[in-house]
Amino acid sequence: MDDISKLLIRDHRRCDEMFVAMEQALYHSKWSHAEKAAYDLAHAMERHFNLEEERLFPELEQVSSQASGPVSVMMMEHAQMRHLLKTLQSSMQQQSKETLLGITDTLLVTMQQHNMKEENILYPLADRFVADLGEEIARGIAEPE
Amino acid sequence: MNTAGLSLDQAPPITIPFKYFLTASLFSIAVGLLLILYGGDVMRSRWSPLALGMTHLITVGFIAQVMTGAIMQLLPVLAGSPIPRVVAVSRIVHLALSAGTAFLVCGFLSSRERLLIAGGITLFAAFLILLASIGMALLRSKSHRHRVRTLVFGWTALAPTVILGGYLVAGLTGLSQVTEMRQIVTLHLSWGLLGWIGIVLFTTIFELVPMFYVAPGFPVFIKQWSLPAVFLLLIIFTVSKFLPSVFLEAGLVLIVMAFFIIGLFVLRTVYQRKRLIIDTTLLFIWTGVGSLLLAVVVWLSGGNDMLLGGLLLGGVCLSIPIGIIYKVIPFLCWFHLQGLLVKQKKFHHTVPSMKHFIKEKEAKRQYILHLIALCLLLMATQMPNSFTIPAGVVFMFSSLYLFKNILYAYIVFHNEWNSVC
Repeated sequence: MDDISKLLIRDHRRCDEMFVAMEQALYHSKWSHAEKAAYDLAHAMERHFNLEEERLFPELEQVSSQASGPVSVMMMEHAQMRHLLKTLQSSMQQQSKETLLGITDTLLVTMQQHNMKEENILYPLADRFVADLGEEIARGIAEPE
Repeated sequence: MNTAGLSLDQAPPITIPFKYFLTASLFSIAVGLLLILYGGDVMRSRWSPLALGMTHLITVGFIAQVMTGAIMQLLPVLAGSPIPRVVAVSRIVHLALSAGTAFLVCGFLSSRERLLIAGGITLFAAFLILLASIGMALLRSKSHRHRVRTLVFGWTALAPTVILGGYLVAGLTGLSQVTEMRQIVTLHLSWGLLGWIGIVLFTTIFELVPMFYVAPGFPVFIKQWSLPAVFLLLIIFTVSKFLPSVFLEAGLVLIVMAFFIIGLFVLRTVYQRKRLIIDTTLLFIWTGVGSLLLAVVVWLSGGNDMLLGGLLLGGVCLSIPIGIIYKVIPFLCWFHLQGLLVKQKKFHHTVPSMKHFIKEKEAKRQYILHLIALCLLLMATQMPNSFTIPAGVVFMFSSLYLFKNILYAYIVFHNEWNSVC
């Protein structure tokens, strides 16, 4: 079975691809397509955040004292991304490409630097300390939306 | 595992990168001024004090400032380990780097030995403190990922560059007898350009392009092995200067080929990106990599040194860092403001998007000026009398525009910060 980092990294890449589809639709002013894609992305990311916040992070904090600092930063960045996704969806009505592409650019950079921290620091900790959670995480990611 | 760097409170203050990036653009304005003031004379020979002054304005004045400002931000994210006492270290290094560059360049231009010595000593101190701090941060980091390892090679290459530079200053000022001046210069610039700048810039590109353009990752042999191989080949090339051997000297050819292949892979990865938007950062990366490939062709075909220097210094060393600045600054502004909102629990307040801090239109305008300046600079290497002054004028405006863009971002950031507090 794949370890936790592999599973969650794969999910990051899946969200990246959904992001691209959404931004591409915005770029070409395909508004209804973009709206649907933004909804799908927000949904996929929410599921990823929930899996981490409800299952992975609490377990990790329990077994590793090193994890509590990074976990609180990750949670804060989740909140930032949720906020960006909400702003993106609510700004869709204005159909202003410049505003929306400004938000998507910010969202992408936030996602990427966040993923980098998780993939470099937190997920290796997870593989080391809470490998048993792997199966549950695999199920959580595979669940149909 | 040291995780302190992941706490927002311990992220370096945003004034640090701003200070370094603004100073860097001031030095690049000075490059333009130098070209205007001295005209075609700058382009006569790579050995002239004028050319040496200009080279160091770009490498130490611009690149070293940008890379230092960036590494202080990057270490916590990349290695989970911040520079110890980052505020004090950044202040000292910034001051020493700026003063050292000014002394050294003025020393070259005026041929005053005292200034050259002052420049050499101050820069030596600046780099020593910087390298020691980076070393301490990396030792504390338990992250042994390849990206940190490659960065270590890049920053380690700065050590021989600085030592050889110091030795050359001693030779130029008569403090020491340097018999093989040309050989030492070749080693100094090989370690500096191909080792330190080349390895650090491409380590950054290997991370940045897949992340920000949603492109496939670079193949393992490129991402993990090509740059350490460059480092190893630089050692072999250095040994060849002491134990003359055609075999060892071929090290340099292999390094050049390695960079050619790396450049092609960067273009391939950019081509394969899923995010098709072409932003200013990408334009700068294309220009930088295009210049690198052209430089290799010029070098292999025995083209002249000045053209090669123009391509490497103006095309690669200036373009790629400016492109990175345009991504880093808006993000840092946004990130620090977001952090402040969370800290103050002002969730109703909205931070403007990254594009608000440096408008895409403004960044693109600066890119166009940069591109024109670069073309004129390359033409000036062939026809110094006709093109050096126009190149200097456009280059100065391009650098002023860069300075303005960075300063504008800082003012917007500052206003937003005040409105939140």
